[in-house]
Amino acid sequence: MSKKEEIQNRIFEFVVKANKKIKREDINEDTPLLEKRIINSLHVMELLLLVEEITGKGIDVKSIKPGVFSSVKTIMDGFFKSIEG
Amino acid sequence: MFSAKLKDLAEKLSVASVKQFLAPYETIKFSETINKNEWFTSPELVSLYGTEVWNQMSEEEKKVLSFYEAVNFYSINVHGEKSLIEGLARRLYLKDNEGVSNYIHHFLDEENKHMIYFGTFCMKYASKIYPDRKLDFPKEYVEGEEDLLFFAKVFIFEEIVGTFNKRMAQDMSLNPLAREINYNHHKEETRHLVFGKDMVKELYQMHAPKWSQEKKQEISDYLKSFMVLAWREYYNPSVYQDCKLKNPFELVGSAWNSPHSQQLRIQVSASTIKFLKENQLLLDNPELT
Repeated sequence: MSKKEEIQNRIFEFVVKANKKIKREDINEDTPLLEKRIINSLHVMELLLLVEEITGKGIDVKSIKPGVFSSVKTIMDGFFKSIEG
Repeated sequence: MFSAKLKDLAEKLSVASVKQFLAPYETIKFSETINKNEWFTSPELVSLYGTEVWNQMSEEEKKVLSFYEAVNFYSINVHGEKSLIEGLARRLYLKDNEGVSNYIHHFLDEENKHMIYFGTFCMKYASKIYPDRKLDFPKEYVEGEEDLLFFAKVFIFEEIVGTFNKRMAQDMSLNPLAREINYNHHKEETRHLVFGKDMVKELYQMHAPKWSQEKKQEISDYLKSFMVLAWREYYNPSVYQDCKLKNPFELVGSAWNSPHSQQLRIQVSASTIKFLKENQLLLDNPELT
């Protein structure tokens, strides 16, 4: 499994843990997470901690636009684009 | 409309606030400098307490960590109180808040004083307040939901803060200024908690009968997430960075997962969870471990 796939899996795991009504097979990388209310603004803050843990870098919360958390794909593009694989 | 009981409580608390009125610039005197080789947070309340990293630190390093943990605790309070003041000010003299507005004035006044204590300490001795990490996206509410969530979140937040304050106000090993800040905050917060508790209870009883089971579940889930996040703020990687500790972001996980910190969260939030469950705001337990 590539590094990118590994990170993507951790994000899917987070979403499924955050919303117990959702199963992994119910969502894909384009599923609108906020729009469909699968995650909320509180989950996003937890997600940020996960991103910081993976990247080992702090994120300036004020610079973040809600669009970055629209889907797993936008999260990957927003924070992990430079990672190979 | 609130009950006569809540209005009466608000009146009594207002009388107590007038009687125990404190002038913030006279209550606490801030020295020009501070010696960081002292405890500013009780050791067992330091996020890394009991972890491998903690056990390897010298006493001097632990004390410096306790200083930055205090700056984080005070920063959390400044941000929490800023949102609280905004929310309280919006609720002043609203028709629905008839009978409690007078106490809201005291609540606002006292929260502003607390920010002076916390903010002055942070800016004077650390030259910073750690940034607020909360994000708020627009949300649609049903009738009564916004008010209920506002007061319930304040209650959850203040219960954690209150326990930390109470313990540190009694910790004689703490730097006297840190002890005094905790003591003064605790003294006034006790009144806010009594008011907040009754407010949450009445708001739920007033509005919940109109809500679907799905909405009640949504509120419960939201408050559970809020409680977890309120705790998350106590594990700040910037604190570890300021103490020059290695892998600060990994340390957040070690601190959060340590048996001591898990136990602390369960212990501190036990009565809050019990109250919220008894009043149906929480339908099950938040994941604090």
